[in-house]
Amino acid sequence: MNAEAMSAAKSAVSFDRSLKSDLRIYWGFIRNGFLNMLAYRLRYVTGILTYLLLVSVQFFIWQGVYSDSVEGASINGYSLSEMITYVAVGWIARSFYHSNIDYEISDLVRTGQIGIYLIRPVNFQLMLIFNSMGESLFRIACFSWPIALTILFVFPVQLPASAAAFFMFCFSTLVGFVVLAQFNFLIGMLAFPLKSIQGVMRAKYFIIQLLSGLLLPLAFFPDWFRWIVEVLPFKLISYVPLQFYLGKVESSEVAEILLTQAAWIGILWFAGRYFWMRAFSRLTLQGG
Amino acid sequence: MKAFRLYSAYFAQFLKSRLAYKGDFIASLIGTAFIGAGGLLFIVFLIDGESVKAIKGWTRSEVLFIYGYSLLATAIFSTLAPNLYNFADRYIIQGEFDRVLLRPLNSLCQVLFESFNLESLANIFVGLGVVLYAGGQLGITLSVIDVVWLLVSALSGAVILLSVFVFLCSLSFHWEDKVGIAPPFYNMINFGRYPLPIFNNLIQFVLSWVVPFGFVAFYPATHFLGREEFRAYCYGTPLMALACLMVASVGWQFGVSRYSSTGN
Amino acid sequence: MSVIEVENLSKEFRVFSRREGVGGAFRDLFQREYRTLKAVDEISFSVEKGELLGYIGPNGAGKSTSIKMLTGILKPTGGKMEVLGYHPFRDRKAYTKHIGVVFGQRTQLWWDIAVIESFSLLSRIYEIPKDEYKERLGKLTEILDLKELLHTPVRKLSLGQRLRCDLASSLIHDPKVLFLDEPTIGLDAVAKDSMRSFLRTINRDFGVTIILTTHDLKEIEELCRRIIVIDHGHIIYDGDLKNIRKLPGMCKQVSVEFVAAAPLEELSSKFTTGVKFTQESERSVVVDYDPEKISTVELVKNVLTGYEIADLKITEPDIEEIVMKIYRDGVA
Repeated sequence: MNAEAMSAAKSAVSFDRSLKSDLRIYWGFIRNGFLNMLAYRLRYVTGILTYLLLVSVQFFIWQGVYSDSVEGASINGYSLSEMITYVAVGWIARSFYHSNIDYEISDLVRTGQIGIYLIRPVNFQLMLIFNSMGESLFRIACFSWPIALTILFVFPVQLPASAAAFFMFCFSTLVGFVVLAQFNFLIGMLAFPLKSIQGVMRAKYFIIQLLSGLLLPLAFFPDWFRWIVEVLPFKLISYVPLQFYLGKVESSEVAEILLTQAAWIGILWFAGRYFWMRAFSRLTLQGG
Repeated sequence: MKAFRLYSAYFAQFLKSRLAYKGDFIASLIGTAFIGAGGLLFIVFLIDGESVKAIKGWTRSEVLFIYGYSLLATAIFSTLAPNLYNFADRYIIQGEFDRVLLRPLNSLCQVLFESFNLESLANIFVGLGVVLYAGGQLGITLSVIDVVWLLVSALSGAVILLSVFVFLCSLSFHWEDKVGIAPPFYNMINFGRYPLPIFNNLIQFVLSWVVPFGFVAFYPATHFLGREEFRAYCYGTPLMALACLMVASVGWQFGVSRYSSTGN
Repeated sequence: MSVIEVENLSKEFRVFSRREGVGGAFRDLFQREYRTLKAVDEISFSVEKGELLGYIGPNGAGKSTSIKMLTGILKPTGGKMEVLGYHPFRDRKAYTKHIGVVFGQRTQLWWDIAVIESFSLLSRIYEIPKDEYKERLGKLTEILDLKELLHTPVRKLSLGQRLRCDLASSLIHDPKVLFLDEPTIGLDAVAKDSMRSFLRTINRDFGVTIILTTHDLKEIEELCRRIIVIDHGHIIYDGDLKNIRKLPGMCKQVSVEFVAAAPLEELSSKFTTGVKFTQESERSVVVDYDPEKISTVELVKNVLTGYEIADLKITEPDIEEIVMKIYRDGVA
């Protein structure tokens, strides 16, 4: 995402506008983004290539891992074919579900523009989440599908286990998006005491890759680490959707997963609200 | 020597401005170490010695050793790289390269030394720790020559990485674009963190002769791993670094002269 | 002694013209259109030591391009130039030690650290001996009134303060020539005023030759004796600022207020060429006239005879108007 598109998106969404004008603004945003994409055709190609390379490294590692074992054998419950699918689909989803909320908040704090949101009758949290949802939709429309096609063309990726599995995968990915967006909001709240959160965002980057299960399914973790990961919400971002995709979720488990998803969304929401209110009251006390 | 003193002054300058945000600096330091260590966790968890014993015959300690080795060169590189990462945007599109040309110094050195990613130095320690740990597991003992080789090859690896990205930056003098074609190459570095033979022939060829990231860690590390079949490549590392440096500086000069004839 | 010699200096660019809209962007993917743009077209001039030269022109006239060539950033496509005996582009590294450059819109200081730190790093870049640096810093601090600012990070400075520091940083290595590109852009009246007096001091006391580009013609009027006006890559005026008023085609103006209703038609019939009457109100008339064709004395005499006059005012044209006119019509 380039900076103009991001700031266009930032100013594009607010909740006091009517739906129609929202749509018009969105259309303008999509159209400009599209023109940008064309103008910067390089970025388009390099973006696809980046994901192809990310998946390639993983592909060869897994191929190497399975090459020593018997044909068709499974490791920790995954066959080679499943593992390749896990990695490929995981990265394809990664290409759109990530968000820049933390970066945006820190930018607002750094430039002092955060003050505007104190006086606007807009739910800051919701605004940012919906805003980045717009960006994610945009990425799907313009960016993720060619990545998906390229990856599906190059690597032997399995189809979803069933139509229902695919539906649950999509639904859970949406939940994963919301969880990540809310977590990013919390990270962004750190910008108030820390001023600059480059370092935290950097640390977050890898932690999320590991804890979300994007790099390794939970079954590959040692027990102590798996226990930590099970307790944390990050598995909802990548691991859980992929379990659905591969058809590894028993129907008896579905209810519990849905409950966990709902619970985490709620918890993160109230945590975000709490910290925003705290920052809010401090800011207004200091006069911005 | 004069140049060295001057560029250490540049470094000191940056240090001062970076420490203006102390909290973030410390968090960055830890965060960067996390990224380095995170890649290690992946390997440790994956090759657990029970369900997975090796990747295509490369044992856990060997894979760890190569990974740690790669952290050394990449840490040096990343320390100097931040301005290469956003070179086109900052220097060409926003026009800061004008200012660079107004000073009586080498333009590339100015670009490299105007901003550092100090946090990345954390990974030198992570890398050293891993090399020592994995080396211990493999029963490697270090002679003086080994230590010298470790130093020389880590520096060579950093030079190779720098050269590749300087070359890519020099393309943005010709091809105005905010991001350029560098991002996939940053991801290619990851290939150089694992034993080369796990990849297919095409990738192995590319990593040896086109974008020689195989020389960043894998080839020089085979010196310690006793894999005779890579000897020639292994000791060719400094030569490869020199060759890359030459290509990069020619590309850079060519780019600067282009900038001087087009503005931006 | 001339410091800058420019002869038939030219710069051509090949520009990529983007097509409009979505369809155009698509077509740009496959075929790009280029056109050649002569940003600077065979200009020649010379600048003497100690001059304070105003280099002006409308946007896109070729001002920045010429400044960039003179400072060694851009390589000319044709012609010759020599500054302080150097070829700016070819001898860039040696040459830049002897010039100072300030871009008003961009700082050359390190953003997050105290101003003094930037200065001390610059002193090392330009290899200034310690004593000399101290002395010079002291002088600049005094003239530019920097004492309070030296220990503040650049990001906390106001625009005016920052520009003063930028100016000091461009003078720290004792340059012989100073190039200033829009040095007062965005400043308020007070800051602009003090900036001008700094420039005058630097020019007079340090003997620095100054080339100044700006859109603010008041500034030019106050500072420069000589101006060069450039448009469409050509120099359209080079000479004394005062003489620009005497250029052919530059009208003067007389406002006349009559006691009775203004006899417009009668007056018009009295003159044949070079005079234009415009009725301002019932009793007053504005007369634009070309001093080349009719002298002020003759004009006033003619207007005075036979009418009762309440008030009469002769106005010289504003420098801004003159330059606007030159931009618009060129020099006759």
